[in-house]
Amino acid sequence: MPVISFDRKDFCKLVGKNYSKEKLEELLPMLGMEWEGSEGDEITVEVFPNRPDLLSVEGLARAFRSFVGLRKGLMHYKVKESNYELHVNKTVKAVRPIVAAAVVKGVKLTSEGIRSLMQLQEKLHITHARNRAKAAIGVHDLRAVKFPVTYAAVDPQSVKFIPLDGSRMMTPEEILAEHPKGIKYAHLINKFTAYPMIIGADNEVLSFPPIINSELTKLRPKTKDLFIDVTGTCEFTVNKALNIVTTSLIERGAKACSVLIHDGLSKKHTPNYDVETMDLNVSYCNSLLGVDFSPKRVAGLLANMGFDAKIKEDTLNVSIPCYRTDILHPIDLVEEVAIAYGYMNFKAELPQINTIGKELPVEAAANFIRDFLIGNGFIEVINWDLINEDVLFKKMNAKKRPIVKLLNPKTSEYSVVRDYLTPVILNYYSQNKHNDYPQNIFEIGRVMKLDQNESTGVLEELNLCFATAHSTSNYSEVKGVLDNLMKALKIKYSLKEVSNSSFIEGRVAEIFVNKEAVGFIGEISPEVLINFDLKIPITICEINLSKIL
Amino acid sequence: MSPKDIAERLHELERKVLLALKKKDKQLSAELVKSTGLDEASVNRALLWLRSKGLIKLKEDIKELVVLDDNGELYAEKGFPEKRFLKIALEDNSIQGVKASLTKDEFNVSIGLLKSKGYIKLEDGKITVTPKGLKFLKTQTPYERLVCELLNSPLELSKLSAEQKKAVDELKSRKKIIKIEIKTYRIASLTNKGTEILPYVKLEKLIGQLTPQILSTGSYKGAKFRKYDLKAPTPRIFYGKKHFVTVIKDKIRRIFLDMGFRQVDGPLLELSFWNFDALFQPQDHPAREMHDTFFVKEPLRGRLPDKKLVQRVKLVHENGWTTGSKGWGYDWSESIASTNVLRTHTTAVSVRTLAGTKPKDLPLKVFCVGSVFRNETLDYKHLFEFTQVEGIVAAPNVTFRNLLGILKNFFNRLGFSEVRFRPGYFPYTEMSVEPEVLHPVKKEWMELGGAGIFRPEVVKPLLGIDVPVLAWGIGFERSVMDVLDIKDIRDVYSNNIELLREKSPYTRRF
Repeated sequence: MPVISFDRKDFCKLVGKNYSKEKLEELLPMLGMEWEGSEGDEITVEVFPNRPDLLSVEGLARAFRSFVGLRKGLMHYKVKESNYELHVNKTVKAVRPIVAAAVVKGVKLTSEGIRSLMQLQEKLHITHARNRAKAAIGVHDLRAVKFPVTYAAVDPQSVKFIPLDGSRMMTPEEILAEHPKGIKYAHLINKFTAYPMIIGADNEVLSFPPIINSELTKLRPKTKDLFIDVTGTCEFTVNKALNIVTTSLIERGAKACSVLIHDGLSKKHTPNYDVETMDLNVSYCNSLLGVDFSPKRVAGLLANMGFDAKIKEDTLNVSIPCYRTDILHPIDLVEEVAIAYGYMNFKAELPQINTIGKELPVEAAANFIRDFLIGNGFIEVINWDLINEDVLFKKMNAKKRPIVKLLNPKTSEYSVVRDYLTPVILNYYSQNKHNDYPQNIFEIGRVMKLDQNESTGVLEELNLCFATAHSTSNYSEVKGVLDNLMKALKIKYSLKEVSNSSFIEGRVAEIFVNKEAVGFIGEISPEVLINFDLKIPITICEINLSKIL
Repeated sequence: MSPKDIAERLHELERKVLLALKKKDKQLSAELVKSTGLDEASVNRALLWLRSKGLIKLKEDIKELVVLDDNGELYAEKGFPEKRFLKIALEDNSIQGVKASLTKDEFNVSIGLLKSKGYIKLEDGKITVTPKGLKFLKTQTPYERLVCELLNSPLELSKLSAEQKKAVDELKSRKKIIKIEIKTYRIASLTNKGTEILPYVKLEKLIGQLTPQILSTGSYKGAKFRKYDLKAPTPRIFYGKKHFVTVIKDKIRRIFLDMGFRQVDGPLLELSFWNFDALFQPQDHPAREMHDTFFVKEPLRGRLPDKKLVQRVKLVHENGWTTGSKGWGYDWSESIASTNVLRTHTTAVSVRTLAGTKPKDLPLKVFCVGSVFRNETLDYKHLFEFTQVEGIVAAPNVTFRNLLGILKNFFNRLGFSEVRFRPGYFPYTEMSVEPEVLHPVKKEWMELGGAGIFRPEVVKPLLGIDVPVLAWGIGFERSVMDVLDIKDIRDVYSNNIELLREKSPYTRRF
């Protein structure tokens, strides 16, 4: 989840009232975020990913201001209609079709203001814009922008410009190959033959979205007016990103002017601060929360969260702020009501539902077996379900067989799912070769086998494996335990000698129940023991519990 | 314990050694073997016991000893080969004759040595012993004397006379006559405490281990039992034991069962459909990316469930279906939904359970305890496989207050009397709650899970109707780490058998 930092004094100035750090530590989490920590007046919080509007100190202050009741209800942001024009060339349709833009004037780029703007841009890119795939924001010094600007896709070798903070002219192609930002985001556009570009009236490159701006429009200490572009693949994401950025600047005292987006067919002004509405049924809200709020009360609580609501009997027509991205369903408004009311103010109450508890039969059986084996001196161990082919096949002296394999394991050590427990038990022993013997251990665990009959293509079963390791571990000792276990489970079984390359010839048998093979028992062969770097005899019994329980 | 108490608890071996030391303090363990009549192992055992009780002091002395080797022992008995050579040569001066009476080695060594010293001369296969040789034969050499002495007892290297030293050097160059051994000597001496108890140490017939024989013969009657040192350490016992993870899992399962929940389970390897899509997580959601989730290469995909359900989920993503939601507004892909993953949460099980529930079967109260996977690198804070505990309550009239009530009750039962709530975020719940509990010992608030009410976009496609489904889960490992006082999360599933033997999951808290 995204983390943002801000200065307490700056925050309080934006809120319009002074709050101590302690008070903020108490109140901010109740608004819906995690308090990460603080150092002096520097405060760090973790913002929930559904609230990109809180990724700036201005956005946080706006939400907090209404939450504590200093300025309740919807913020009516104004855009001055202006004649800045952005022409959209049809070449971008296939590449990165959506664009919105704004001019923001009178921006106070104090150190706090510029820091917040940079932070907001970066965090929006990562979260809301899905690492610039859905939207990318460019911020420019208006003085360097000559209108009308054009948004077009151009041949990667046809233009040259100095990328932001760069020292030489580069083609877009060179930027993708050499510039750190180019390398990082190349995958977003390098499949196209033409790259998106925002170009000024004199044919100068202003920005190469979603990669990097031009040095030409870099913000300077004296910059007061900004041109902001947002390009992308998702209209909702693009428009919301522009609204979040521009309203944050307005919160700091700036004024927004519109840009006319002109694509040859239609014209529209952006940013668009039109308010969307959604109906909230008060009884729906009350029945979910378990309360009996009047429509007026609910409207008041929504006002604490920055919403306006018109009351029509039992229904509220709620106006949603233009910077909110997370209101999909009336349930989202119910949560706003709950947060405004305060989670701690709800009276917790158990539901009056009478049901009878029941554990899984297989859990009860597994615990019966655990108790039995513990009585026989075995220690229960738990291994990862993930292991590697080296342990499953090579060390076991076994031929390869089809198993479940991961697509993207972090390490090859854990790259497949075990299909039986014996190899991981031996692996366990090899990690305990320096500890005291006897080591009589058992595991009850899931194993996976490929099986077309299952919807996932994988059959998951529960296996039991028990083993003894000490200087006189042998077949008869473990068979004695198996005999008693089967007697305890009231299961008749028989044994049949088999040949298995992991075991000593003539000392390994398959276990049959109702004519079906359900497991095996035997002494591990010296070769396999040495493969696991073990110098102690080991006898193992493994049973498929899913087949016998 | 009084000196008398201590004396009464002494083992027979200890008494014998103490009584020997009473006669003569400061004895070598070898001397004690003689003075007590016990074997060396028994003396050593007794010495260690006595020392651990503080009754004697043991001074250990390391000495280098000159001892006879195989040939040395032989020569001490039969004489050195060069001497025997001369004796035989005086009787039969043919080389053949001498050769026949000595081993090959003995002959070779002797002839070289005797010739070089001028003790013999060789001519035409005949051996002549020179006068010098005769004198040599008649006198005992220093090295012969040394070997005779060594036959009696080993000699300390540092205490040898100059002559003996020279002899040692001479013999060292010859094959297997002498060797130097390093031996540890224990010198036992009584401590003050040991001296104090001596008056009470008696050699009397005491019963040690009570045996069937003693019982059947009745020999215990009138006999005295040796008193035990009841606090003495005992040998290690290797006993069977449940894994502490199982014990704590069982405790948590018990809480759910007590609260009237039914246990459910599902596959670890799951279709993305159940793990993500049915939870209204958009297909481009960051949680679905490769670096968070284990995807499966074999088998890459599975089969989606029945068409009706798939269609509902598709529509709910695309436009909200009939839930009243806007949906996410993108083209939902069946192909992405059918990819296999290792489940990232047990919520996949809750979702499957809801899909298998008919509205008439409500209310539903189920829980799941099981493994989940995240594509993490193993370190002290992260596991790639861990355990999640999750419960859901689905019923027409349950409320947010009920969710808080269940959470409070659940955490109370887990041993946390104080619980508080604040807003949280999960993609598939609304309201989302972060419950925090006050640690009863550390007095710190800690997060112990997450909770919420499933969104209508989740519930309606699964159940066919929109009812509140209260859901919560806890991170299991935190509870284990807390109860067992483990700091490194990897130790929860440590492969070290000693950790399993040592750690106890017993707690009075829940």
